[in-house]
Amino acid sequence: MWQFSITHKEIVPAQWSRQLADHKAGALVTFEGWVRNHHQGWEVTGLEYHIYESMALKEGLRILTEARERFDLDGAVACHRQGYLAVGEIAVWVGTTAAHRGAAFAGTQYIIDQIKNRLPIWKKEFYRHHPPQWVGCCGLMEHLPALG
Amino acid sequence: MKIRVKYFALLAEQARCTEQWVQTDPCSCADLYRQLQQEHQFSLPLSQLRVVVNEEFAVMERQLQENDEVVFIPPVSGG
Repeated sequence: MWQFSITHKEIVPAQWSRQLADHKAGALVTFEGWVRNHHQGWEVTGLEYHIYESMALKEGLRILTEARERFDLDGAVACHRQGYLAVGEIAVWVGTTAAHRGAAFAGTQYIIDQIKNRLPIWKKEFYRHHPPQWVGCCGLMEHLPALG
Repeated sequence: MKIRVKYFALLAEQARCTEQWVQTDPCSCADLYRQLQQEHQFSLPLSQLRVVVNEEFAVMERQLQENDEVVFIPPVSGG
């Protein structure tokens, strides 16, 4: 199974793991990104994700295809939340299956790294004692056409 | 000519809308951003943005056509 999705609903890991069930696979490696309660010393109360959905879906599938070509995977699923999330919620879930664990570890790491760097997804953090702000800005998407 | 511009994240907040039709002379994506930056007081410099035209990433020098859909992409922070 190969699927990238975006959802407003709670991510339930067991549902996604089951989707990846495959008798060929000897390993499932998953990654969960959680909303944490602090950022650079500030107390975080929640996050809001804004997503350019049509582009994120297209690029997300491209990332899974790249992972499939680079590693010996049997399947890969990734799901990203959008909208407001409270502390402790799962913001992103990635799982890959493979005959052996090495490929599954590498595949999952590749996918989450690329999601964070490439997808048009923006995160606004809400704090207990400060006004909210857009954060991250780490991914400059340098694989894309450069500015002249 | 008319161009459709969509906004996300910080740009949507500063423009106070998620999309607008812009009437402009023939121009590049970079020219369009400079025009919109004046209109909306966008804080992000052009150098921090990427651009998508009709759902494909493009270079800032790309010349726009009537009815193109343009999205300026602020630095991303998914995950």
